[in-house]
Amino acid sequence: MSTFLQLAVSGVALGSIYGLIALGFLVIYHATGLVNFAQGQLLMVGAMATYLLLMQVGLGYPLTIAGVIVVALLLALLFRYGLHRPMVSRGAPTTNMVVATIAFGLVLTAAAELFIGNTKYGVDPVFPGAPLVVGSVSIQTQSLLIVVVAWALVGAIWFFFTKTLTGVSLRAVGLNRTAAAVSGVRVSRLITIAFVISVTVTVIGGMLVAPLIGAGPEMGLAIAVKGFAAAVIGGMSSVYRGMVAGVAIGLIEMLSSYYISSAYAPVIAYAILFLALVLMPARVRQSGAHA
Amino acid sequence: MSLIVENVTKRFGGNTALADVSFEVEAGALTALIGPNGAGKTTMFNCIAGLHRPTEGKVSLDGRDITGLAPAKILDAGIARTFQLVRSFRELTVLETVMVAGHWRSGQSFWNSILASPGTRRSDERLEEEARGTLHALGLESLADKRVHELPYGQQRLIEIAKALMTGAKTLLLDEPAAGLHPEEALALRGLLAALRERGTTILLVEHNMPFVLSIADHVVVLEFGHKIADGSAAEIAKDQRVIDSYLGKEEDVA
Amino acid sequence: MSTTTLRTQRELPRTRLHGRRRPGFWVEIAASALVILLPSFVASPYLMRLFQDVAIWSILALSLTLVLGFTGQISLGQAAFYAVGAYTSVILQTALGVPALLAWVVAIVLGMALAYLISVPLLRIHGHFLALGTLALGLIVETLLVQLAPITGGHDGIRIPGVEYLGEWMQLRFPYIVLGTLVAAYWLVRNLTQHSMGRAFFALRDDPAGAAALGIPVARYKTLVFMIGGGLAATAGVLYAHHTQVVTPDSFGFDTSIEVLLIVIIGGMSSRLGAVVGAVVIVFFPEWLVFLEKAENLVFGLVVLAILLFLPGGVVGGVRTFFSGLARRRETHHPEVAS
Repeated sequence: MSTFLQLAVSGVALGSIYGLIALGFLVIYHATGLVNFAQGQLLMVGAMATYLLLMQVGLGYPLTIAGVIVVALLLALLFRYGLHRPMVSRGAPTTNMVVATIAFGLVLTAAAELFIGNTKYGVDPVFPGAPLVVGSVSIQTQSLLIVVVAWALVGAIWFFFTKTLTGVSLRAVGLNRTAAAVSGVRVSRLITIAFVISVTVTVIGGMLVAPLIGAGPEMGLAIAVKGFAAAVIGGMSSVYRGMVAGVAIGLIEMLSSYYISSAYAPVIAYAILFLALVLMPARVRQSGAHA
Repeated sequence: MSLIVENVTKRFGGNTALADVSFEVEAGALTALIGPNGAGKTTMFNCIAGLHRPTEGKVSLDGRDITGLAPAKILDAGIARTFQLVRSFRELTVLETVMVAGHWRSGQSFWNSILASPGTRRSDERLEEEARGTLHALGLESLADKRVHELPYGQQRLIEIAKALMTGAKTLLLDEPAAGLHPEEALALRGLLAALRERGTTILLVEHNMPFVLSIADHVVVLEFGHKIADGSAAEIAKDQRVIDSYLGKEEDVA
Repeated sequence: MSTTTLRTQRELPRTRLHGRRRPGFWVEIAASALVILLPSFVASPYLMRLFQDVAIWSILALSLTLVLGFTGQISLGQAAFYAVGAYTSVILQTALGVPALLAWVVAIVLGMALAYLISVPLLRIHGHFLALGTLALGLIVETLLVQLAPITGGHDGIRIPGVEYLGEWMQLRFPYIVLGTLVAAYWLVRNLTQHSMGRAFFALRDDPAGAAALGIPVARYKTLVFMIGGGLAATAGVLYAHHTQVVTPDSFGFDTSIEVLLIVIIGGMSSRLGAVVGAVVIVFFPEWLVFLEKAENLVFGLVVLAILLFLPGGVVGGVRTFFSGLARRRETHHPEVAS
């Protein structure tokens, strides 16, 4: 039983990261209709930046966090103004957009590999020290932190989208860009805000998960696939659903990894994504806004 | 070849877009389906063209039941439609775009293409001649090598009609062919439609533009909120009080 | 625009060479002959190896050209069919003693069958979701290649020494087989797409509803093209296995699917020549620019981004635009010179 609970704790923590990826993914998707295949690499950048600043340069966590946020902002602006906007203004079709985000992710991975080499590095957790013990379960402080921060972020984003003028305008842009523009909404600026939110949330996810699983250039893809699965299962709509789906995937992964086979656990996750996509109801499939 | 719509009702969830609509599109004549926004014209159009399946009712062509058939089968039955939103085939020239409309009857398939049978090349040459002929008939032959998306809107709409003609269908469903056209373009379109009618083509068009419709249609059907409120010749409809109220009423609301 | 009546059909001037082959045809024939005979006059075995690499990548890329370039289906999982082709062929030969040619045929048919099976559920999703779905598929196959170790040899894979399985005669002439297959694949794609079918593919790619209204069977064509794509990828896999004489999971993963995508984007997405050009670039540039060795992926990623932004038609598209721009300029300066 305690093994089960132990696995469940890990599953929830990891799953919350998948939920964060789903969150970042959904924010851009709803604002622009873009499916960002580089989402996993953005997480990787967060993890790598944390590793570099914390472990190599030796800054403490507070400065590291600040540094990582700066990196996130720069990355978001690069992504938005260097790639997304030029492609949209050229009227690039969906295919080209997909390839562009893939290429962007590829460049990030390749740059990281050049910089660091193709290994995983350990990253210290925020609160060093012994794990908390609750009953027969030992919970790493980082896992707890992940869950708290992830859900806090989801709540904050939800608040932003429902209660602030900017957030509501952003939703309007996603639903009907022309109408929003005609109503005086600064569409371009809002889309940039969406990119900033998405990238920042994902980068923070990388920073949170690095102490748990290490930081390496190739870490992005596997995590991203599960994040996408979470978003799709959550109906591509609510960020809460994405989070819940992410946690569910994390749990399934951990439990099947132990009880069935750790080798096949990834296959289960990929199969879940495939099935979720194929079984997605038609109205969700078509509901994507336009880039 | 008359197209008969019988008691067609279409509901989307709780919303009744069409309620018990019946009318006839006579062979070789031009019928117009008009009505204010939200009247259900496009829904009716799509029900005939195979994009929607009527919740109740029947559509038949020449006695043959075509209710709810898929678009490709509708074309088999001899009905071609145009789209209002022109989404062009990016890499094809105007000529090639029109040639595509003849593909379904060209006899070319995977097998005979891969095996490069001589029939394929001959079929292509025939398609090209026919497409050039169609473009020529519409006065568009100078545009043959241009891309559709480079052309002004009026010419794009004409190319839509060229495609419909190229399919060889005897019945044309035209979705707001006059929308967005300059007065001179609309005049030219009128002439084109008249010439088509003389050729014996059956035409059903959906339109907003009352003066245009009254100047060309043999037969007019008026919808309002999913119901048919009038059905008769252009002259009769122009004088029909309910129709006038329906249109004028709208104007009052706006004022 | 001054039509007030329908103009009657006159005898139209013949503007194309009816009944005679266009000059491009003979160029393609000559190039094909040249390619097949390449091993006869290339002395360096190293160079010959590179040419075979190009050929195999080209065949794999052609599968994506058909599936993505012509019918707009974003497949990030072509490596899955590549793997099925390679592994099926190798396992049949090494574990079951099936003769090479038969194993090849079975492997290719299996690739096509798998493609057909997958295409049915995939028909329901489009655009980025299709990309995600094929991505998942590729990852599933990649993981299974490692996990089904008793059958696939796991990480170490399976070796298939040439002479032992192909016999001396075939092993010696294997380069001809590879290049010959490339030519065959090229002509298959060419024939399939050069007339009305090709135009119908473009139509269903850019406007499925419009294409359907013109009587084009969108779902059937997409499925058939996906099947042929699977078959081509499997063919490439079959050749690859004998070319490298070993199959390991590394060669059939997501990275490979991405590499094929890069090839097709660099060369020109909807151009069969583009598949070959892209393959040449992918194979030869690292050779020419050896100093780039480590930064290979980075450079290719940046090149692809640049192409997407500035030259979306890839190399072939760019060259075509250049020449048609020249032709147009020539026309405006010398309008009496008819084309």
